[in-house]
Amino acid sequence: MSQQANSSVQAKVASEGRQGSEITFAVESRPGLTMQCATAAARNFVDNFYETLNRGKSPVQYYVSSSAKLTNVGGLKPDISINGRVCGSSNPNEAGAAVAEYEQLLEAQRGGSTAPVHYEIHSFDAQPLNPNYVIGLTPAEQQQPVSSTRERDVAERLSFGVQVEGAVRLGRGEDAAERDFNEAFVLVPHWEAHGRNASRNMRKWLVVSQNFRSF
Amino acid sequence: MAPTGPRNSAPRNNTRGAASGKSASRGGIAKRRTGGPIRVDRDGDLDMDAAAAANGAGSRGKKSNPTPVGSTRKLTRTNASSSRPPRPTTKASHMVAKVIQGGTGSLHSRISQGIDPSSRHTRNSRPINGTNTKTLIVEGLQHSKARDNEGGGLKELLIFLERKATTAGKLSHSVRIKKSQLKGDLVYITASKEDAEHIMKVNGFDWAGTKVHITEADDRAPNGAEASSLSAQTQDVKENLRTMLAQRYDPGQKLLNLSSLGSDASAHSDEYVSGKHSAETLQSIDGHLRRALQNLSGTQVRTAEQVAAAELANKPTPISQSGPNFRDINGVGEQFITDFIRGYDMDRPSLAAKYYDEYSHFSLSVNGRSSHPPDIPLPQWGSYIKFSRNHVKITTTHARQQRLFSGTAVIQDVWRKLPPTRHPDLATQFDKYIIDCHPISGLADLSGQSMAGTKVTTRRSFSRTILLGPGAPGRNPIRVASDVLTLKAYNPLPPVLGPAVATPAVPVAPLVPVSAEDVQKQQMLAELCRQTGMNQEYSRMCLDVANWVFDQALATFNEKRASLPADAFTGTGPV
Repeated sequence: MSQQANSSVQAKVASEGRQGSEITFAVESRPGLTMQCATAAARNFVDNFYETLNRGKSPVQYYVSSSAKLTNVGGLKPDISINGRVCGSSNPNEAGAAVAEYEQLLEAQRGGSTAPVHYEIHSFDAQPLNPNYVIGLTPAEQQQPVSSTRERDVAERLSFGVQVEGAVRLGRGEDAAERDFNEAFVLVPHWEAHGRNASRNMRKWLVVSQNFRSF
Repeated sequence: MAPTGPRNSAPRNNTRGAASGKSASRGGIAKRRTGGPIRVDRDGDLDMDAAAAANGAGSRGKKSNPTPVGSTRKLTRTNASSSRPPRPTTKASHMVAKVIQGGTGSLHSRISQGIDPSSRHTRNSRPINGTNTKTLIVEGLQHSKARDNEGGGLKELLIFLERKATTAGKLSHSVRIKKSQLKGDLVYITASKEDAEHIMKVNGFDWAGTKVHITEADDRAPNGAEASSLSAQTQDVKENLRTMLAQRYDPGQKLLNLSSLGSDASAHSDEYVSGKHSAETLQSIDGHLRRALQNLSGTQVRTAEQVAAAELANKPTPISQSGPNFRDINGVGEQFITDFIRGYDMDRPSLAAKYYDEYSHFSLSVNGRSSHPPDIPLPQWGSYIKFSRNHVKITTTHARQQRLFSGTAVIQDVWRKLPPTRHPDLATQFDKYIIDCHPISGLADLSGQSMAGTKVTTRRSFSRTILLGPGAPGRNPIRVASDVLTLKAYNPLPPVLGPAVATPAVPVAPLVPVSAEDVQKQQMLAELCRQTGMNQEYSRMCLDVANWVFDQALATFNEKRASLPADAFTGTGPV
């Protein structure tokens, strides 16, 4: 069914590739595919990310700082703002500084106890942002043809935004205090995880921007 | 595992019952196992007597028709999806019937809940600590990975012990732990003597990243048995002291009033204190208490920092608020947000036409579970709920697709269907907003904001994340790429924002899109709040009256101070 559309996209890419001009992403030939990918990826992210926090484990693998391509080729580093505090701003040249400071905040929040902090999700929503995200790819890789109809290809180049609402419960049992929170993320493809022979444990998308507020 | 609450936690509670049920009866049809230990006779037929009798349904023959099994299963399901412990009523009646007959019924459900069974009424009538039981002490829970589980891993440990004891002993029946109690690092378990022997075989087994050590306790549960060994006199004194303390509890302040403990006790000592437990003892306790308090408040045994540090070490503390984080690029975010809030209240079609294009997305979610002050009436969500794209509730691809609105015309159409709104004025009531803005590295000129605020007739709170990017050629230079809105019941923002604005570390100016004069006003306002302890609203009124002359405003405050209502103050008082 999508065979024709598929080949036409590739042909376009190939011709443009010869001319060396920039590839523009064809208008979605399967409406909703980017949305589906974004939604599935967001669900996976939200489930796992907060589970990691609830277990008191390090969330370091969720951030762009864990990808060499995004960090070195793309020049990205995670922008983490927690209750208005910009993490890692004292050390702006170090890609891992933001996550390190965020971890410190989380640790201080746990207060030495094993894991009495629990994030509970009340609602979340996700939208696709950029269907052809290329930052961190070499020019040659950017030229490689991608299909806009194959789910894997669409997912591979998709960046998306997630907004989460929930409550963070501090402490156990009756002493627990609960605060509502809102958190917004922007996630971009983890090139290494989409590559050949990638470890299955890698996150397929990484956080480039995070904004947390508790109320 | 998804952190989405009851739906996921319910099956977890079930695990134990299901596991034990499975091992309890190897024969029969799978369905029968789920209901718990249902008795099956040699032919594999159900013994319905106990349950049927307890239900008042009268006794049926042994080979009754299987319909009740179906209903049992249904009940289990219903319970599992609600927040109640997932034990079916048939099982409960089964147990009640057993208790009445004087047998030792299953205690699974209680133990699995981790509740100290000694608090139950029925316990007195049952010989749990009888001669044919044995108490063991299990070590290892403290260092196990299961410690982080919900309920502290006790349930998992008990399941493990029962399962391993059953297999290690190569038993045909399953080993049952009748009673368990968590005391510090140790778990006390009580089982029948035979079962206890099998459980001892599990000693030294690996479990959840640690080794389980099991030792025999000297036939005594940590509390229960001790209590019975106390003399009648001791029991008496204990009871009396308890009564006295109960009388001295001040429920208003949630404190024990221990003043003049000695005199009080001496007055009543004849009544209920005898022998060496005299008033003198109580008087000396009184003295100790006083000294302790004096020491604490007077000579400072520990400094405030030490106390705070000690508390911090044990208690989780929320991450503090740091005021707005508004890292704008050339005033783009500032310009947009003022325009946006005004436009959303006044003229949504034009707003959509200006900033949204055919690739812009808009969606909204209703969060019905947010916290809110108890006196706030809950809003009706009728006009929003049909558009709500809350992924926790809306789980089908089709519905999610339908509720994602893309393109100017579609967004205009949705906005027309949403109720009219009136947001607090951004320039004058910025304390009702938290607006963060930061550039997103690597995404061209995109910029994200999140803010929370209120709407008026029915007050609601909202959070909205908007991603801005450069507009298409020939269009408005700024476009909205993505707009995610979440609505919830009204809940005022944390008061921490007021003081946060006053701290010099946080720049006020970038937040409010205004002139230098306005910046000065904000500083005055913050300073007045700080000095007087009044909230922003009253401070503003005060400054308005004084025509924004700070000293005059302060003088006005001092004059009118006594007549101000309590809600004029932020609660923390003047600093």
